[in-house]
Amino acid sequence: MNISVPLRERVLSAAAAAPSLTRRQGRRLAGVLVALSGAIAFALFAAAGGLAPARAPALVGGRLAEGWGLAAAAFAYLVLGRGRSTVVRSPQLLEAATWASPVVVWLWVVRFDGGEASLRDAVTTVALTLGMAATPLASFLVLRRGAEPQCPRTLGAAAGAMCGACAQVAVFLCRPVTGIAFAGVAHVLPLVVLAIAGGMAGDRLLGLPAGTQSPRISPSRGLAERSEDQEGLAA
Amino acid sequence: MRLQDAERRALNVAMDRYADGEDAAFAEVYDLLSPMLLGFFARQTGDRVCAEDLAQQTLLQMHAARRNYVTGSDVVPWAFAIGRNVLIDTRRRTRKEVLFQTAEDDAAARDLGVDRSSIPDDLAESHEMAGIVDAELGRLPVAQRAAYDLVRREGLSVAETAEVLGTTPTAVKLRVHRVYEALRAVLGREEKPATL
Repeated sequence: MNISVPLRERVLSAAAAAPSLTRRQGRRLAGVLVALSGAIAFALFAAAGGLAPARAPALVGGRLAEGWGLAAAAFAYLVLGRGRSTVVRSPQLLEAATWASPVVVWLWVVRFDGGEASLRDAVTTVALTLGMAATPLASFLVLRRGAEPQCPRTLGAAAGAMCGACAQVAVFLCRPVTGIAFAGVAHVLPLVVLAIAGGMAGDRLLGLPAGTQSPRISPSRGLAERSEDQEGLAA
Repeated sequence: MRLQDAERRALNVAMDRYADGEDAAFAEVYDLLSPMLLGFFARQTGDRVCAEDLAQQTLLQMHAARRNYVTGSDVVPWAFAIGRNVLIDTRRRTRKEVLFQTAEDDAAARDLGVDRSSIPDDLAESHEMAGIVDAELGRLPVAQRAAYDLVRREGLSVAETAEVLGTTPTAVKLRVHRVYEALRAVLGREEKPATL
């Protein structure tokens, strides 16, 4: 770093040399990624049989999706919405919501009687949830890459669980299967996996990029300045 | 250096324009924000060159993340959240580096000792007091010290400090209160022998 160039000039020229995305460009990119995520989720939903429920009555699927849809929307508001602040919401709140979501979905699912489920159903449901949540999570990581100064891991974990919760709304519509053990494997497990994966990815991607070089205390210049200070003090 | 309300509003408007793609507005952001950041980093590191480097990194991180700036939000807590992160990151990376690179630098540092008799008494006393305060602050937990620094030294509000530290305003008040208590106790101890 050239310390002889004034700081203002250094900062402005460095910013000009490395253009960054503007908010408008960011919104355009977000639109593309949201459309892509929606298209992939819809394709997976259609491939899984669409709205036709496998065994349980259609009403159960609707009620499951309705209630969980509200919870997922509240969770999404918590993770995506930042109110009138650029800094993320309280990390403690995000963390609580992240780890509460698997418990809440289990409590919600076991309230309904959706018929018997096989291990194959559980595996398909897990795969469907992970498949539908993967693209939105990746989009979130791309859009917020290198912009979270405080808690990238917490935010990544919350985003993972939030994407899983949103995917589960569609999963409930096409596979309205319930049961205590089934809910544990098919609904709790993917949320936990997505939260852990999101946390790991967030730690690497969402945090601020490390500086190009570590600022060091320059011995000669630092001492010269301190010497001036001391002289001023003595005078 | 603390920003007046009008300057804060101007800073927020400039950042808003910059986030929307008006590149010239970054100079305004720099002019309004850099004195505050430089003061913060200079107090934290005690070195102007290092403070300049950290301020540069903070401003460039803000430049890189401008697409995420929320319209109408306050720039100062965001800038301090980034700045604090840059400072922690830098401290972590330079922890094991030696302060002085050569034997000459080391010797020069020792030669800088100032004759105590040449310093006026009241100035020496206030410096001594500042030294006691700094030593006590150094002993306190990092979370309490950070809250105290941002509220008392940088002039951020309790709510802004909570945003920067990612905690609640109540927790910030509690941390600052604990620092006050600790400082009051240590300064009380220092004053007692003088009054006897």
